[in-house]
Amino acid sequence: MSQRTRDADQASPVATGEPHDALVEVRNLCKVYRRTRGRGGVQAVTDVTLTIGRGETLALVGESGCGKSTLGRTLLQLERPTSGSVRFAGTELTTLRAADLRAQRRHMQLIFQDPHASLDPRMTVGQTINEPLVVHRFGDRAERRRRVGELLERVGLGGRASGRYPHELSGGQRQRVGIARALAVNPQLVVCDEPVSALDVSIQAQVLNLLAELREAFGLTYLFISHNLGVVRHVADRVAVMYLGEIVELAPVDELFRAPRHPYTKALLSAIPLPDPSIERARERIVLTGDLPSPAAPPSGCRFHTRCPFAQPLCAREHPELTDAGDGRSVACHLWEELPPR
Amino acid sequence: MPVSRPPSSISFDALHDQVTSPSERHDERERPLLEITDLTVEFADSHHGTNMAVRDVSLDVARHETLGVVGESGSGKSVTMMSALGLTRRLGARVTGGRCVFDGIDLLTLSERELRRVRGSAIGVVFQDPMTSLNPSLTIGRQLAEPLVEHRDLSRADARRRALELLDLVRIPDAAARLAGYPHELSGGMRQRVMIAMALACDPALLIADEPTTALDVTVQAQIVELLGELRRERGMAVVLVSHDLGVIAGLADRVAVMYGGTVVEAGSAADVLGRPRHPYTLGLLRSYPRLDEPRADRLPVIPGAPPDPFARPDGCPFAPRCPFAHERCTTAPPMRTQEGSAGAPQHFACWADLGPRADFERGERGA
Amino acid sequence: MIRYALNRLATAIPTLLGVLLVTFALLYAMPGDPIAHLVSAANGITPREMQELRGRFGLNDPMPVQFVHYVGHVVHGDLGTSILSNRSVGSLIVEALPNTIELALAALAISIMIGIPLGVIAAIRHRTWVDHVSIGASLLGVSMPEFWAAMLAILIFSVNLQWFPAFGADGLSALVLPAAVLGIRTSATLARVTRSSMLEVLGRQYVTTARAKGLSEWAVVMLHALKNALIPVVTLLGLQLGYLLAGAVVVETIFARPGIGSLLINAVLNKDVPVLRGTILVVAVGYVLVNLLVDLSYGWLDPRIRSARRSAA
Repeated sequence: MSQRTRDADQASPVATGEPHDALVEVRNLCKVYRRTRGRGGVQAVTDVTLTIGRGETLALVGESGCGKSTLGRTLLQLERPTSGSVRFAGTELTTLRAADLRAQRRHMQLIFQDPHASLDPRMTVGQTINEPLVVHRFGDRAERRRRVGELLERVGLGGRASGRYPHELSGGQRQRVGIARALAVNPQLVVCDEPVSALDVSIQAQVLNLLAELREAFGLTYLFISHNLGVVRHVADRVAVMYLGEIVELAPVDELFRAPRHPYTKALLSAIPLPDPSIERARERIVLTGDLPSPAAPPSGCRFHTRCPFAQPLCAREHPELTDAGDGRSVACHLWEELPPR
Repeated sequence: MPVSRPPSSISFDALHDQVTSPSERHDERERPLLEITDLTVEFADSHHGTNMAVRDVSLDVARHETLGVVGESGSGKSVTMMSALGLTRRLGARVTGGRCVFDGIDLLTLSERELRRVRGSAIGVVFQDPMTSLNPSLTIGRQLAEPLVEHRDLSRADARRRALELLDLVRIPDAAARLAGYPHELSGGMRQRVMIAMALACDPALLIADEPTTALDVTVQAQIVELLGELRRERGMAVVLVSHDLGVIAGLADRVAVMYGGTVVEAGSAADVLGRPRHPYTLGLLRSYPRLDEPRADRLPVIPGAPPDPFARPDGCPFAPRCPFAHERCTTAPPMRTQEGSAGAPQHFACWADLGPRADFERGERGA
Repeated sequence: MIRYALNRLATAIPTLLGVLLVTFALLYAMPGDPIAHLVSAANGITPREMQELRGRFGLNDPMPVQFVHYVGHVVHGDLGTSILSNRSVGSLIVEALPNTIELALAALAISIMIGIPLGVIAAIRHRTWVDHVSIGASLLGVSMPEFWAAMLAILIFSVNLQWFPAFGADGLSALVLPAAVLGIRTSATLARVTRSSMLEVLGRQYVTTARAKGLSEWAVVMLHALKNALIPVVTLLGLQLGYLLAGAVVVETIFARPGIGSLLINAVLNKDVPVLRGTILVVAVGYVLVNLLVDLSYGWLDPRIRSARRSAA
């Protein structure tokens, strides 16, 4: 894939390996939460540029405080960006008026992390799934009822679940309701914000399989946000790794796991434990020192340099931009070429 | 490197000496440090009936050994360990059977007063979420000093000195400044280190860690796992590590017990249980854990269904409704069978079936 | 923290102005003429002289004018003159205030000494008979009308037992009954709030951690739980103190204690508008100060709030 700039008027370096048919194009997106009093602010998302192709699953990976959830929400305009552009199927979202934005929402939906908190405890399952249908004026009452039933079947809950309340369901069942709700209006893009993190391991697998099935059945595009790289490996086509609000590495999934280029990605992968005692005991781990710096005061130059085992003086001075690393990958690191592959 | 027996709390020793005879004490050194036998714990709930949280559970930990207890929510793993220390009484739990023998004394027979002498001194506990497990309105120094003052009768100055040592032990930089600070000023990983320091303050012979890494980021988790590994080597203490994360267990445990639906379904050395499981649940759990060292699969193997309702536990094997190898005889609870695992260590599992070489777990799912 | 306190005091000024405005407007709209109430044609005062009197008290000017004059006076410390007694409002208040403060503090002390321990014990002995009895007792306390309790107290302790005087404000013995009546009443609510707050805190994870360290139950409850449970309790205390400072009108009347409450009642009965204005202003100031104290105490009770304030400043 050749490196091309998408928008002539945006003279910014663009992540390579872009899929041909772009559904979502994010350019230089920034989200800063200003303090109510005093100076400064929390730089939750800084200068993020990426593209999501139609039908692909892009994973956004990172630990707490990296800005991945904020990025997902800002992309959907649930938080208004501080600057930057988000194009959905060619339409610029950041400048839309409220009414138009609402109309766009039926194409982009969100599945939340906490199955407890994301369902209104006073609404039955049926009412919860029905609501988006009503908001976007889907058919008449009979059609909606049919659709609710259909959706419930699709996500593996019986039609009888329609009359139950969230507290009567298990975590896995509640998450299925959340999925059904997200799919109700036939969106093109579904942002999954840590959809399985709050679930038991055996249920996680069920929900992940469901998400994969639904993607195939409906031709969905996913932005899959997670801190769990093991889970991500099974669902994603491409992976973007975030640290302190920036994307530090972007690569097709197999490549990322085979040969991570950015030191943070290496550390992340090395930190993931395997359920095999002989491997675990013998492992040489890259264990990061120190704590995550505050997003309100990110380090100079490369934001990761304070914890990077390979840091050089250059890293504290100059901020590395996301550059093409071949094979459809990009890395934001001054030293990526010199470092050993794993 | 020989590891000497770590000093336990003076008052616990006194209690211990009162209760046991010299010959008993000699035998103890060969026996497990903590031996839980047929423990049954119930929670009575007026609305829903009785919650059989734990039923006939038997576990044991030897001195200097690390036991991993694996299970998902509702398996009873936390309740088991907390009940051993009498910490579930206030939640309405009743122990209706079994024994928890620690260093020769059945903890279940002790009064609350006597148990207090064990808690924090001979047995230390690390809880899951350091954000909520530390008191937000007391300084770190104060919370660290408390077990020292309570059990060792140290003066304030001595306790402070020891607290500084403890913070160094868990590799917290700038210890002196931290002592005067509050929990909310620290990151999650730091807070968990403080919890570990607190649990180790009086040199316990046994450390119980209840999901110590679950609330932490994966890189921080790696730090804590490394720390725990080093600490238990240095101090030679026994550890019971309760977790649902098989990877964390694999990194620390010598032996592993798997719990499901309130009972132990499999137990043995870590290599055996995690490498050559004999119980279908363990097998299913291992297979649904996404692994980085195996090729990607399109669909993850799945255990269909959901964990059983603790208020309506079926007779017979609790896993039978979800088990691909279920059989008529599974309506009777299977006995705990023993096989010889690797290196001569026994492997126990409660299943009628003989899995033998790893059987292929059914793909696909039924809605939960 | 000083900066925070000054900040809060600064925001109190608009509040007080608002109180003044509302009071002013309400009293202005109040039917009845203070002058007519005070003197009547029967005493041989002509309507013209009455009009003159009104003018002297500034009652003939339009309301906005009266308001501006009044605020100007207040800023200079002049709260006006009582229509009834012709004494300065300020001196009347200064006379009445010590009695009220005395009563308020005594009642608060009794309330704390009964209410908080009761609430804590009920929480510790949750679901036992102790809990049920204290809930019942506090329900009784809350439902008891003040005047009834006051009269009952007078009947038993003053008339029958002759332990305490039934009226007046001289000395400690006269303080006991009214303080007890007020205190017991307010302790009931305090007990309930303490109980529910303690129950919530006792369920928190750090309390389990404290027990897991082998701390005595006393240490767990007093050191770990109580401090964290106090925030809603302190809020309530602030409100109660404000109420008590407002004069606990009923109790003061029944026990014939000359305090702010009696001052207010008399002013209302006699339509003594300047006194009313002045008293309400003083009470409002009292509430504001008490609230500020309560707010500052949050910083002491919860270090997280302290940090947030420090970084926001």
